[in-house]
Amino acid sequence: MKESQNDRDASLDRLLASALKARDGAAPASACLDSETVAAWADQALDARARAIAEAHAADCERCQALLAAMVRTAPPAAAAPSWFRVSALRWLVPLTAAATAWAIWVAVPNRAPVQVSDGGVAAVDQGVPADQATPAQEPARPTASAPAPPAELQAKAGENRPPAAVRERQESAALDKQTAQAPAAPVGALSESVTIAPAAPPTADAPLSRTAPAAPRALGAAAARMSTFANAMDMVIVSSNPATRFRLLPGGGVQRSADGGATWRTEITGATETLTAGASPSPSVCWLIGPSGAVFLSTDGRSWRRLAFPEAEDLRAVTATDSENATVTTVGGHTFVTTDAGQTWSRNPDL
Amino acid sequence: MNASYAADLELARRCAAGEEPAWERFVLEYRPVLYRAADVLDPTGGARDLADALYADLYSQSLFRYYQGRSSLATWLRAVLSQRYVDRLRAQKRLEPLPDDDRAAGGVEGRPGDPPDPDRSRYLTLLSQALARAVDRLDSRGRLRLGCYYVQELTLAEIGRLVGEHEATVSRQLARTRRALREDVERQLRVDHGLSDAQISECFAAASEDAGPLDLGQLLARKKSETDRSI
Repeated sequence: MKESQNDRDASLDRLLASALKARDGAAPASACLDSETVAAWADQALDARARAIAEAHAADCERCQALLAAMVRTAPPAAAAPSWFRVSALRWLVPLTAAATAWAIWVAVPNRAPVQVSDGGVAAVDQGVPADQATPAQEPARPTASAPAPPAELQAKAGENRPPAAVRERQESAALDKQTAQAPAAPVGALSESVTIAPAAPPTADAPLSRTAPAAPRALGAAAARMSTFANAMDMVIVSSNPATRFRLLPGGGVQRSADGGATWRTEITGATETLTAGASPSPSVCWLIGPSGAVFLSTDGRSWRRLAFPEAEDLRAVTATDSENATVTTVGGHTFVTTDAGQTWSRNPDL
Repeated sequence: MNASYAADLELARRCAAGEEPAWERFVLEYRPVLYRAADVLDPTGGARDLADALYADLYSQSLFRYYQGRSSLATWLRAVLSQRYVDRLRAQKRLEPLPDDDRAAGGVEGRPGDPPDPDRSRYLTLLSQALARAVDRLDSRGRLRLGCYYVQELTLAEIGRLVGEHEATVSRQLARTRRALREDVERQLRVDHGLSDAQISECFAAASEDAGPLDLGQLLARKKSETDRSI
């Protein structure tokens, strides 16, 4: 009987995909989910009623299911919110970790000053002395159970303590897991790298947004001229001041140029053999590219390229440029070199 | 607007107003997000042009005005990109050539070389109709889980993230739903159609892998058109 049920379940499995596809568009009377709603769903920002309405529509709409599936697949791993049960299960780890950390600091710091004891024999810290009134000598050694565990650490622990995957009913699921787990790996690295090194690029890139800043002309102009694009092999398109013109960096020194906003690409001959990592294009015809071991390339017509002599053989990580003459290159070691004559001479800025 | 995303909304507003520092910051922070999502959607790079087009539209058509701050800006960008990607895929699918008439007329094929089996077609029709009714009776969450699993081929963990359940819960619920579907289908075949246990087994056997390929969509569509004509 059990075998018969399994056979029937297998038959149903075979029919279900077709049966569900055949339902597409049959039931939903409401409009398809818009991007705002889908995004709010993904960020768990829909209220219960809106969520129920969206779910009722998506249940019978193959398009919206595909959209939701795409959202799940493209979610950055770090942003994947832990399930409620994981949060609650790990909640006890926060004070425990904090206490353990505090104890470790207490033990590890050898030259801590003795805790000042008040007349009543109670440590000052226990009397609620504000931190800014405590003596500096007491600060490093003060154990505090309320020190919050870093969110990233908590996330990591959540990952470590994650229970093994439940029953995987299909080999396809495992394959899909592998695909979704591996595919984002490189781009995620690219993202974190870009974000990490961004402050070193244009001075205004990470500046706080000023609410009183006047509106600028729509054309990017000087903004794009200062723009430096950090690159790696997976994520390297440098957009010029006119977004129609773009340069794409490929592994092994390849460079492609598009004059139609990325619809078509033409391979450029730069002579580079190393994978270039970043670039800046202050105008459609001017592009600076950098790479490992002091590799700097410049094009002033958007087509022909020349390698510039660079004073250091250090790997380069960022470039900003205002035109074909003026550029600033930053090495991975944080040294900054400036040229005002199209790379004929370079001057090193004093290290901070 | 969600207060958590006020900073994102402000950035979008300033980008829409054409403020250069805001656009500069957007480019640095969010373009990698777009490209990463595009590469996940199509690892061969086929979705990068959509990301580029979206990037250009954000610049030239100021799509930022559609961002209302109900989610993070990064998530909204992924949603817009995903929507364009899905719509393009569906448009391409509509342009695919239809199967030839002989096959379309059948909807059910036997093993290669075998003559058409009229019983198999009848059993499959009964089974598929019963299954469609059983699916209709599920709640929306159940249908959503089924669609994500069988049609979108999401993993259990991915479905769990979508509906806010642990993957073990999703697994249990899927198994429970499938069992409920089978029991509902069996009941319909027995009660509504008066089939014997042996005939019910024949129905399920007609849908087994050994019985040859089938296209239930065509079968249901053909049945529906026959029903419409008869009304």
